[in-house]
Order: sequence, then C-alpha cells, then structure tokens
Amino acid sequence: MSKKKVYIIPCSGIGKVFGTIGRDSAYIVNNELANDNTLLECLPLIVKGKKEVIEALKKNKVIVIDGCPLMCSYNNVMEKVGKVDAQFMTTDIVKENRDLKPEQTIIPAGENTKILSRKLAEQVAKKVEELLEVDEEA
Amino acid sequence: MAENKICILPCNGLDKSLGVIARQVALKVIEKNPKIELICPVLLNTGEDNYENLIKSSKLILIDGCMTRCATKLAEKRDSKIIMKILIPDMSKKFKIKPCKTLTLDEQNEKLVDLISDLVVEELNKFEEKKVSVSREIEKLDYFDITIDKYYFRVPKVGYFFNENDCWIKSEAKKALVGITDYLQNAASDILFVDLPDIGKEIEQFDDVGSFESSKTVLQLISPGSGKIIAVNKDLRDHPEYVNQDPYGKGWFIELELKNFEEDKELLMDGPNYFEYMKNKIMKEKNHLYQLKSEKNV
Amino acid sequence: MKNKVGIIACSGENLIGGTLSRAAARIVVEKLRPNETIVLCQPLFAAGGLERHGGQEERNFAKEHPTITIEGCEEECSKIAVERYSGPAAATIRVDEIIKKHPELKPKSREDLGEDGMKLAQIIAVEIAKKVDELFKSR
Repeated sequence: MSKKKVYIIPCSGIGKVFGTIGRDSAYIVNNELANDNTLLECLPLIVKGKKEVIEALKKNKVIVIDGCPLMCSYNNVMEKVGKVDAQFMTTDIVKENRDLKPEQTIIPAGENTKILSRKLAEQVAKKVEELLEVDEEA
Repeated sequence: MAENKICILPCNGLDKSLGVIARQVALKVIEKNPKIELICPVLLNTGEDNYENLIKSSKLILIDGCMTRCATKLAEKRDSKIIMKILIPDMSKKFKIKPCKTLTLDEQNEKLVDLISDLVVEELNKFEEKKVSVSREIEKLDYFDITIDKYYFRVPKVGYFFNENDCWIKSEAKKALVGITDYLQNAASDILFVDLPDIGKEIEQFDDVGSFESSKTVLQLISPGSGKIIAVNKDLRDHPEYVNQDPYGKGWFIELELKNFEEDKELLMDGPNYFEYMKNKIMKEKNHLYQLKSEKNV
Repeated sequence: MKNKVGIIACSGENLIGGTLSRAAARIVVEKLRPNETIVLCQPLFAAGGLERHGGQEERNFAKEHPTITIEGCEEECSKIAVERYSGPAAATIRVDEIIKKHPELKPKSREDLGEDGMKLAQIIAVEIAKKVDELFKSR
C-alpha cells in the first residue's frame, strides 16, 4: 500500500455556492470515501507560506478543487508548492447535472447542493485511488 | 503569410511518459500537417528574443503533459494567441488509455499519440473553416467605469450600441457582433450554459436570440439589431466563463449580417448614454435592496 | 447610503474555527447588518485574481473601506493577507478566543456545526456586528 497520502485543497470561496460544493465534497472524501488516504489542508496556510504544510504537500499527492475559473486553489498551490496532481472544478459538476441547480443558500446548504457535493466527492475519491495506484506502481 | 501561421508548443517533460506523449503528439501533428511549425520549449525558455516574432504573428497549439502545464506557462509569458490547449491526462481519460510506466511508449500509448494528434488536426480543420466561429482578436477598449461596493462595471466609450435589455451590438461594415454587457454578466453571476441560435436564422431587432444560464438564473439575449445570423461563438459552449471574463470581447454571442443598422440605431443608446442608464439602474436597485433589507430587520 | 464594511472570514478547512468564521460572516452579512457589510472572498483576496475579475476587486475594496477579519485560529491568515495587499484591518475577531469563553457550547464538527455550533456562530456574529457599529460611529 502506498505510504503517500493525497492532500485535498478546496478553494473555500464564501461568496458563491460553488465554494460550498467544493468544500463539502472534500469533507465527504476525507470523512467517508477515502478516509485512510486523504488529508485536508487550509489554502490560506499555503498562501501564507507555512513551511511544514508546503513540505508535506511536496512529498505527497495534491488534488485541488476550485469553485470558479479564477482557480484560486490551483494557482496558489502551483505558486507555493510547484505542483498539482489533479484539479477539479465545481462548475464542471454543475454543468454535468444541469437539472440539479444548486440553491444559492450556503448555510445551510440546499438539497441539490448536497447531491452535487456527493457526486463530486465520488469523482475525487476515484482520482485519489488512481493517484495512489500510479504511485505504488512507480 | 505569417499572420495565418500555426505553431505547436509541447512541454518537455522528461521524468514521466506523459511528457514523452506530449512531445510525440506534437511531432505527429507536424507530420500530418507540415505547415505547422514546432517551437522548442527549452529554447523558448532561455531568452525573451527567441521566437519573439514568430509567436507574435502566429496562433499557438499547446500540449501539456501534466498539471504543471509548463507549455501553457511559457506561452502565457509571451504575447501569444492560443487557439488550442491539450492536456495529456485529460486525453488519457477521454480515450481510456492509461499512460505507461516507462519512458519508452508501449503499443497502447503509441495508439494514444495517434488518437490525440488526429484530434488536434481535426479541431484545427474545423477552426479554419469559415462557417464555424473563430475567436475574435481582443481589442484594447476605452471604457467608462464605476465601482459600487466591490463590483466594477464597464461600458465601452465608442463603437458599441446598447438596448435597454443590457445587450450590445458592435458593427463593422455590414456585419456586427452581439453580446451582453458587464452589468448583465455581473447580475447573472458565473455563467454555466449558453444556448446559441442556429446559423442562417433571420432575426428582427429585439428578438430573443439565445439564452445563458448561471446557478442563479436564466436570461435572454435580446438582439439590438436585425439581420441574418452568420456565425455563433461556439467557444462559449466549452467556455461560458468568457462571457463573465470579457463580455465585450471573447464573450460575444452571435455575428449578424445587418439588414438596416442605421434604422436600428435610432432605438439604441451609445456608450455615454448607456453608461448613465446603467448607473441609474444600479443605484435604483441598490436603494430598493437597502429598503427591503431595512424593512426585514425592523 | 452608508459605505460598507468588508468582512473577510477564515477559509481554513482543517478546523472548526474556519466553519464558524464563515457561518458568522454569513449571519452578519445576510441578517444582522445587511446594508452595512459585504463579504470579501478570502481565497480570491489572497490569490489576487485576474486583472479584470476577482482578487483585485476584493483588494481594492479593502484599500478604500474598513475591513474586519474573522480568524479561525492563531495563524491569522486573513489579517496577514489584508495587511499585505490592502492595509491594516480595521478590526480582527478571533473565533478561538470566543470559543474558549463558551465552554458549554460544543460545536459538532467542521462540516456540521450542530445546534451548539450555530449558537456559537450567532455569538461571533453579534461581536462582529458590534465592531461594524463602532466603525460606523467613529466615521
């Protein structure tokens, strides 16, 4: 079994529902779907340049989840860590499920938002497996 | 002529098969279309002058082997016109062929190289066809602008005309581009889907000619002009965010062959007038919201 | 009409303080002081964004208007980001300090605050609202 972990870094935008979908899907992956293999990390700590956090990300796999085309998580992780192993856009999951329009409320999240978060989480969990598999084979 | 030249820039990843695939794809594309010129990423990276004129006058295809996107980063440092971006992991997923572990490609990965290079050539052919939409050059525009709270609204000073539905039209000889204003894209928030009309359709001024949907709402594109639709911006199907990012440029929706623009203009606002109209609209909405929220909290 | 106060909440994911910060920010902006406050997106703020959209608007707003940061922990990432890109924050609320003052309220988890957590969020939101009022009085 690969000793590496996969870090998941959601963008955590608060202004729109897409940040909530990204965040909630990260929680689902970390709590439920890939509990043993994943860790979450705070994007602001990465932006701040906290050494221990950045070193850990460099040594492990990194998945970013962005809420909009500005890609704050991807851009910041690339700048501070120098690599991203996979990227997900929450807008993509919304586009793939046009009939499930996310509600605009963030706290609490609406039903459609929760369903979308779960669908995204499943995609992310699959990628976690792939990344660790590739790493094991290397 | 150099203006129509196309160049291809692969990444040069050496530590994974993905980089090898990226390079092989670029070489295969050139084999199939010898008019395309290869740009060496290493040479490009060693000096600002290298490839300077070529990049300025050409359109660029980028092939990245992994999420580090070295080719994209190199291109974005220069004044380049990128027409296509290929990311090998996405292609691997699309064609369901996993990248091999070794730096020498196996049979399956050679097949992947063929599939990707065929796709690039096919997309390039579509791009060059006149009937399909092309990405428009982004002009440097002069704007009126206003910031309200943290929101920033712009209106081009000249060249654009507007209707009261916050849609614009920009004419050039007998043709015109149509899109939505900064105000409207702001109101819609992140646009996720764009529904475009059929090419060839005849439309009248103020016809509903398409729609765009965000997580908040669905809104209509109400044409400020009349004529025949001769092109639609198909880029918006994969990149609806262009409407938010550049509503007066990359985010155009349709192109018209104009019927009678001089007559249509009589019912439209020019830049200065639309800017005043937009400001009044924003302030009215702000006051109304302020009142509503105050009443709610009493 | 009054000029608004910007609220930047912690966007940390690994801790309950982040969730509490965000919940409190939404309560202030949507319910307690809707006409006086506006949310600034912390990741956008730090990222800087593109020239046209995103972080520049958040940063420019924070240069011209007072900004309150809500910190989930002692790292104070939002305060540091505001100082770095726009200027000193007008006020900083430390969620961890408020949690210590209310040991009887135990939030459930970072993804679901639960009843106690929402009560804490409300308490934090009231503190933020007080700061907003102070800032308006001092103008």
